[in-house]
Amino acid sequence: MKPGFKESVCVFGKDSRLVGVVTEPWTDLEKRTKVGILLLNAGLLHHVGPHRLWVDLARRLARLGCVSFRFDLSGFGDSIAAKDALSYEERSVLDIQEAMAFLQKRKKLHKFFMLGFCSGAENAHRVALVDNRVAGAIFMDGWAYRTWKFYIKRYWIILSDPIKILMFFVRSIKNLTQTFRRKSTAEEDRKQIFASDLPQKNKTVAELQAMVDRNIELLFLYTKSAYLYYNYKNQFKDMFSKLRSKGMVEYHYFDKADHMYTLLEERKHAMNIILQWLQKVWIKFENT
Amino acid sequence: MYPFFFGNANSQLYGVYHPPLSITKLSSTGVLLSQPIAHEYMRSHWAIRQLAQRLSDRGLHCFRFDYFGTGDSSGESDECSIERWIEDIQTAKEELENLSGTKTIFAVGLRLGASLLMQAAEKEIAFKKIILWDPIIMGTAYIELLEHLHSRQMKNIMKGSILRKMSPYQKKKEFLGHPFPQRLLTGIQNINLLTTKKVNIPKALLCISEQIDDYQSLSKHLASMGNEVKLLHEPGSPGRWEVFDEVGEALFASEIIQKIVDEIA
Repeated sequence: MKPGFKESVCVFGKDSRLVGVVTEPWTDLEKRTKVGILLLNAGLLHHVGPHRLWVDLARRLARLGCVSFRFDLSGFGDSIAAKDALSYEERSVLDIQEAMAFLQKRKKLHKFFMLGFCSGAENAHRVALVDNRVAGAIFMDGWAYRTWKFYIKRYWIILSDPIKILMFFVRSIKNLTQTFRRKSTAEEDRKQIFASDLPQKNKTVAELQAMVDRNIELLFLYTKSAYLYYNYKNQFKDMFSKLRSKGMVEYHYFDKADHMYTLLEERKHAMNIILQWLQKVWIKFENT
Repeated sequence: MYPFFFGNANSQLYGVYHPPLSITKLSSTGVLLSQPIAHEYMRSHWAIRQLAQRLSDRGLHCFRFDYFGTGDSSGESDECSIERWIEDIQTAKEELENLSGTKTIFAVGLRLGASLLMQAAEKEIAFKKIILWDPIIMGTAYIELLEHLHSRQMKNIMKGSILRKMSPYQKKKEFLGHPFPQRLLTGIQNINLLTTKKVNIPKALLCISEQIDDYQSLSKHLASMGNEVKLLHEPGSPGRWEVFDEVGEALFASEIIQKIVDEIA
């Protein structure tokens, strides 16, 4: 039985430093979409994605007629580091643009959706801002901003349970002690990962508005692990209340999923949401 | 380095070949890297690449690959089995022999990757030298560790959730993001390197990040079969295999990698 897709390893970019895998429908005769999907590095993980999520997603996309490209940015995974003085952010944008150029040439695709996870979400945001080839972007556990409801939910959970109140004080004292001892904890690591360099909210809203005004479709997914910044279902609507979405923005909150979608059921749920959304939005490019 | 698909076209494997970057007397030797699986694969990817690069820098041919059903290789994650992975070792070894033009092949295995090399040796897939880096000696203990880590992660995820159904976990075995079908579980549970039948490994190096009694026992067991065995402890690169980090912590093992490279070169 044919697998429904075919894959090829590609070395691309100006210096042939970058490595990726193109996944596409089994034969050239099968119906293909006119958009390509770029699957960006998630944090330090290489191009297979968290728990092989990008591989599974790419193969399902191919069965739906879509070409996808999972690849490594300079210095990540199987790609070689660039020898230039550019910052990580600048180099990442250029690498992603190289990936688009590569697919334009090889697969005659001209519009792209990007899927970014964690730091990949930030990269997707940066590229969507500056590149007209971007038709849509999916941000998984990207930037988030606390709201007053966030604080109520966060502290209500603690205040409603005497044991939690006690644990809160114990943790606070422990954190204070560790601050003095300069001991890193898993909690501190998590704060660093989810905070990264969070831009000013007004700036983020303005940038998202610019994307929407350019008709870029946007999907936001948040997990329970983002609880330091995002902890209820409609927080997106509240935190970006000034964003005029024009029906081009969708968001979901996975309150049973950890940051890497470790549970198979949650990962499958996220994949289904992504695939349903993609099929809904890419259809507008099919008749152009 | 050269990434490509190899093996049977209907079930191709992903591999990366690192050619020698200098021509030395070692350039007639190839080194096959056998990676861990599941969450340990994700964690170790960078370390394995570093190892491959340093071996290549020293003039050796090096080849790392993804087992069937893992990484970029074909196959669904729930189609894996120990038997298939041992076949993959043979396929990868032959590929390296073709790429390098040499039949002098060493192998380095990390965690279950090391255990698989031993299983392959039992099936007479021969290497001139095998380096076992933090090998899994008892498959049952490994499964217990995975169950423990998964259970802890489930509690973290379920914290604050009411009436969370456990049914997906019960119906289909999964550990830390990866399915473990019954065939694979049985195969892993059957692994016991201390009862390995006579294997002919001209040279074996046991490279460990933590002193565990079982490693001493394994060293003695391999020696008792007439193999030349060396045990090397490098505490500077702790594996911390008993920990699961949900945000994807990478293994940084510069010291132990250098020790392995020095031993091979």
